[in-house]
Amino acid sequence: MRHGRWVAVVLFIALATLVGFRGVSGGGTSVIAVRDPWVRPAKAVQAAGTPQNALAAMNGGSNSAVYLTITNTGDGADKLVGVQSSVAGAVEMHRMAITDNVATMRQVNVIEIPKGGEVRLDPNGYHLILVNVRHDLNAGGNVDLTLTFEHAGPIQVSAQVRDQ
Amino acid sequence: MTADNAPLTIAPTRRGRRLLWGLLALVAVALALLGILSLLESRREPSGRRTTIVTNGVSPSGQGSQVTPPRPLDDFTLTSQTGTPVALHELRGKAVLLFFGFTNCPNICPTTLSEFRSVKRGLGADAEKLAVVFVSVDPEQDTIERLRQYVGTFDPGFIGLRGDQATLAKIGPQYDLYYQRQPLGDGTYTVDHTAISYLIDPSGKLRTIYPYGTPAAALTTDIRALLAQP
Repeated sequence: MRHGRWVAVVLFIALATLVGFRGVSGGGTSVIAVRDPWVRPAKAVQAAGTPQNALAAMNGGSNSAVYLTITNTGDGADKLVGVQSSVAGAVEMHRMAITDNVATMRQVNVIEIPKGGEVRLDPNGYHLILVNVRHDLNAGGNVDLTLTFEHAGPIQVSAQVRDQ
Repeated sequence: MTADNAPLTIAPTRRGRRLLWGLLALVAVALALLGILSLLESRREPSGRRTTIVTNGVSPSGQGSQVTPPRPLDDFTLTSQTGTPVALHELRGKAVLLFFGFTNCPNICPTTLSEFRSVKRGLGADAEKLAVVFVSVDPEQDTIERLRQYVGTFDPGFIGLRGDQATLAKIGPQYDLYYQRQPLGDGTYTVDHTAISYLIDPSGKLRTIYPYGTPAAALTTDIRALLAQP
């Protein structure tokens, strides 16, 4: 009887651990790739200069948008949880929506990447915003980005600056 | 059937009827709830905005909505990115593509203005018969200098106008214009705004409206058709 109880406890712990891991990994492994990244040109706002300009710089300065496609060929779902770039004060994830011809932009904390699927970040939905660009982004240049995924970890991307 | 079986066959039928009535009542309640919810939804969403632009039929490209009859627009004067005032009536004789936005708009406005740039290129020699106007709905932040920088990113020939609250309030209804600041977490803000592109004819009347995302080719087709009219 005493042995039976111990076996039950060990079995319970093993089962709980197994279930726990499945929850974390979503029951598979994500295989993430990023393709066709591009960035809109933007002019950096000079903080020095007129008071109005300094005020403008305080309120986020000049922004630009990043578009790309994320594919997940693995058998587990993943999430884009953060993005960084050396050219911007911050990189935010946004979702654009049109309601009654009114465009709204809302920041999101994660972008879900389903297993075996792809998510397009384009002008009509999810996209990334480079907040307060540090220098002019001119067509032909490149912008470095680090996309961090919950399971796949950080992925380095170089995005070309172009008009469309 | 034997007498023993009779009560057995009647009992399930009664129970069945009761169940049926119960289900029907449940469906009715669910439908009523759905109706109330959708009514609330339709009341909530437009947030007091009313559509006043009457459209009927599509533009030659098939992608714009024709304003019928073409709507005369009130004249207005705003300061442009060069610091000089520009009045709408000064653009008579040209087709006008107009869009409302703000310079910190990183997605919707650049997407639209990029299409406008393609339209201008696509028109070739006729480009001089087109004026592209970008009206800022964020005058607090959009200084003349910012406007000049922003519009210049697309085409220095575009006219960037700094909308002031009084003028926007006056002309807004003719364009079904809506704009509302939305604070972001870091103390900055974004602006929700109408994302329609407006095509104004050379006589100053609103002819066609386009939803966000209308490709340049469609706009070019319609502008060519408009310019070809006597």
